[in-house]
Amino acid sequence: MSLRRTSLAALLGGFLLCNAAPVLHAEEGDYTPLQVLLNLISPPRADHPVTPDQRLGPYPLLSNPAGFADGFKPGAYDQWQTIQLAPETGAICGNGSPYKFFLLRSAQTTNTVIYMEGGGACWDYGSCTGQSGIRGARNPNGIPDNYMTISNPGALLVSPFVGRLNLLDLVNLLNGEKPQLQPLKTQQWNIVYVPYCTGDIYSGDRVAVYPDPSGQHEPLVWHHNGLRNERAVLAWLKDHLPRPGQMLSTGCSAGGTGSLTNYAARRKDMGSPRSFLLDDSGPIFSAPAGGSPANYPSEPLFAQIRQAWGLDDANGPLSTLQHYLPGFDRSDMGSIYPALSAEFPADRLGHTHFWQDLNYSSYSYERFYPEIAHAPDEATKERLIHQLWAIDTNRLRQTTDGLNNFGGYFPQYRALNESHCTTIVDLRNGDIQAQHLELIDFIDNVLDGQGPVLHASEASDAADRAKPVDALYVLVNQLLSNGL
Amino acid sequence: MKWLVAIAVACGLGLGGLWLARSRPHAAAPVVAASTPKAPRAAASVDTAAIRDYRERERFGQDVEDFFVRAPRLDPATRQRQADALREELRRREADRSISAGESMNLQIALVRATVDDPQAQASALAALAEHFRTDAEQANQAWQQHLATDPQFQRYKQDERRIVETVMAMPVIPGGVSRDAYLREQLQHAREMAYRQ
Repeated sequence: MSLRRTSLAALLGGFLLCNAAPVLHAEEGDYTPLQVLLNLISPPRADHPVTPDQRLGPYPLLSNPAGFADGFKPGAYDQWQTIQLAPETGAICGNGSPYKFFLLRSAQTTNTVIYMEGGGACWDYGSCTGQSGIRGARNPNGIPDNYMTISNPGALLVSPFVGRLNLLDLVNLLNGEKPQLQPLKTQQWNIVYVPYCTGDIYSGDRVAVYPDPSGQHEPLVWHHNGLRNERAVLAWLKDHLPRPGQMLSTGCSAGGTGSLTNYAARRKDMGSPRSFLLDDSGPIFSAPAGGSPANYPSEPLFAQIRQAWGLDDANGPLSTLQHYLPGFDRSDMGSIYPALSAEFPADRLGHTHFWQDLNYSSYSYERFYPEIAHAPDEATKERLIHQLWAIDTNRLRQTTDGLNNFGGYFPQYRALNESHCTTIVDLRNGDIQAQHLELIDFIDNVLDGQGPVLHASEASDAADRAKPVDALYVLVNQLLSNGL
Repeated sequence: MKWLVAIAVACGLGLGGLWLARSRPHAAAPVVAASTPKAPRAAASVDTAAIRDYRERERFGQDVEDFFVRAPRLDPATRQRQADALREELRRREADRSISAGESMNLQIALVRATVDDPQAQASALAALAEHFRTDAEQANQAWQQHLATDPQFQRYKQDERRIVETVMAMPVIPGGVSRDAYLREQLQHAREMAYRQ
């Protein structure tokens, strides 16, 4: 008993000492050294759970029912934990299997990265069943519990935002370059990995029934449930972890798009004092409903997904987005950039993609333009895709150029993954040589900069294509093309 | 006397906290307590498995960086021995889930490239690694598919799903004044909750 009292007094004294000491924490949201020690012994609890108001509306924040075994161990720091979400949260994968996400908790900070996994999109039987020969969506069979430890092809495209090891250095060292010894500061944050299994860029809300064109199989029942999954993840985070002092929403490809479309609601419901967005290669181009595809090349795609994913439904995803983001124009989804910039003027927001991206662009145009779908050869197909992508990218660049707190960073080419996603594997070769900029400069500017967010665009891909062959990229490309 | 002990332990905790939070290399973070050498005795007295694990994970990250910095200057035998030790620890870290598959795969590729100089031998080693990844992914995928196929709750839901979809798609009028899509979603949501209710 005496020892217990002494320990308690010691802890209290430690707290007092800590608070009386000079500034011991590194940044907003970080714990003091003493608090880190205490966190390891007694993990901090949530301090901003879902409120009754947030449980209402078309997309409420719904918690797991009492007693549900979600798998969370509060003291399991720096270990990838699988967090299960009950059906009552509204969460589900496309094939109807339970949804889950993954958490790497930090004892050092409340700051949190929410990383949304990339992986294509789908809007019909072939693309949603994972049929070969069609660009489809990731994880058509749902998410295994041990997903984070499976050596699948997608895992090879891991982002430096997802993990504690400073692999940036390894790549630099292996290439005989000066090591960049400073890891991203977010690598020590809480990392929330949101897996992708709904094929709707985390934005849809519709149970689709897709008939098999061949008539050989039963129709596919597919849950485009991305928006509700995001809401369930957010509810869990609020119910179980302290409010992040700083929060970064990011992801590549579909994950970038999901970070963009869900930013406003997440930002308001989470209420972090400082918030950042980094959309890597998941643009939503301007395409007014009914606009000419010649001027707005993404219009046919958007017409398809508006219907397939239920985006325009009454009180549906776009209506809800407009509720959180009054400046958003539902008839032109590309209005999200100025709307976010105006709604969150103190936030630092960024978008990046390559001018020569041949992946997201193929999803955007390949199946909607007969001259591309039936191009006589690959070179012609690529040229036509690049032409449309350039129209869309140029308009987006002009849009972000006019926004103080929404930067745009557009390098040309990288010999990895069809120049798709600037922030995967490593952060190299996203440079804009003419302006002496590296991709890391843009990321640091978003996360740590002052004043307007950086805007930069590369005019020519000549310098990028003149670089020597990168052995790591060759290997990764080979492993991906072989499907591992 | 008790208060003296309490203050002493508190000081130890404070210094222990400083020790735990040694400065990190990120430039944006102000340097804090960079010169704090090591855990004082008082902090050690409140050491727990959680704190030891925490320090071990930090050490592993540092070991990885140190190895690649030193690797070019190591003799081949030493380099191989240290790489093997890292691989061994990597396996443990994978098992306790403190490292993801993606990080592990990249690190394993890097270890091969750092330790095998001969281009042909390196290609063979990387091919073997790729085969290991492929096998791992296939086995995991099969295991997951098998799990779903034998999961009674999931199978019950899929049966209900098929029946509900057929019924709703055939309904001439949707009750409640909602759209067919919304009604279908509500019905399936209810079916899931029932199927998974424990």
